[in-house]
Amino acid sequence: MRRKPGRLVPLEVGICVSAADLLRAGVTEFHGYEIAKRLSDIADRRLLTAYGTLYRALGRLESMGLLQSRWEDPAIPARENRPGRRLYTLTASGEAAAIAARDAASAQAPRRVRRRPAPA
Amino acid sequence: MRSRILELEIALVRMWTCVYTARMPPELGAARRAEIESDLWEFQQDRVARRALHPIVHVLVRLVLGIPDDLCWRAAHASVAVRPVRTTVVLTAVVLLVATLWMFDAMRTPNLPLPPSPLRFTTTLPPPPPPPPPVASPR
Repeated sequence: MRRKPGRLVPLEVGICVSAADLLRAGVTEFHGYEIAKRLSDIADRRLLTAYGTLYRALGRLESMGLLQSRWEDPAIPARENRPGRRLYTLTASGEAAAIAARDAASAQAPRRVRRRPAPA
Repeated sequence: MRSRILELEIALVRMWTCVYTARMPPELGAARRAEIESDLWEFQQDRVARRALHPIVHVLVRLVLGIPDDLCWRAAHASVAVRPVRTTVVLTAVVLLVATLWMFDAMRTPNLPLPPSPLRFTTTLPPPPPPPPPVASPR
């Protein structure tokens, strides 16, 4: 998808909105697989976002300043015998982008036209 | 058999990640490989996601659909001056060819032994009764 400068593609919007939802639920940090699962749950899809697409989008959001990332303390994965996770956090700009995206979506949603009953 | 195919597929994802992160700034390539490794591990632990779609299909589709983005990511971050278009085309073609060949090979019906031939029932008729003794003609 060709992007317009300064605009987010739907996947990036989805990541920001999902991250904002997680933040509201008290989850401040998330990893790539977690957000992929959340995105597929929201869209009611059975397939997770492709590896390349997901991590490229996360990298782009980080370079735009909407996300921040850090590698978790190596002692934790060593203790749990698993690979280390890269943990992402939604920044204030990312939160603002999520709010703006949600507002834009609600403005674009078709309004219900209430039909008046026909005069008798 | 299925878990063996899944293991092969995971190895294919790792191999592809190594291919497209080769000759890139070391910390960038290592970070991407570690992130993919973590994703693969989480998927293997996640029984809910594995139930949603067959794990073999899941991993393969996620890999194949992400290839264009992997290549774009590489093109955006590669520090070495390579001929990007040609390299991209060749790499994509090779990966798609390998994935297709491997998938066909995995889906081929294995050579199973032939089933035993159906039982044949033969009926053996009893021997015909001996001819009646000649009746002596009365004189």
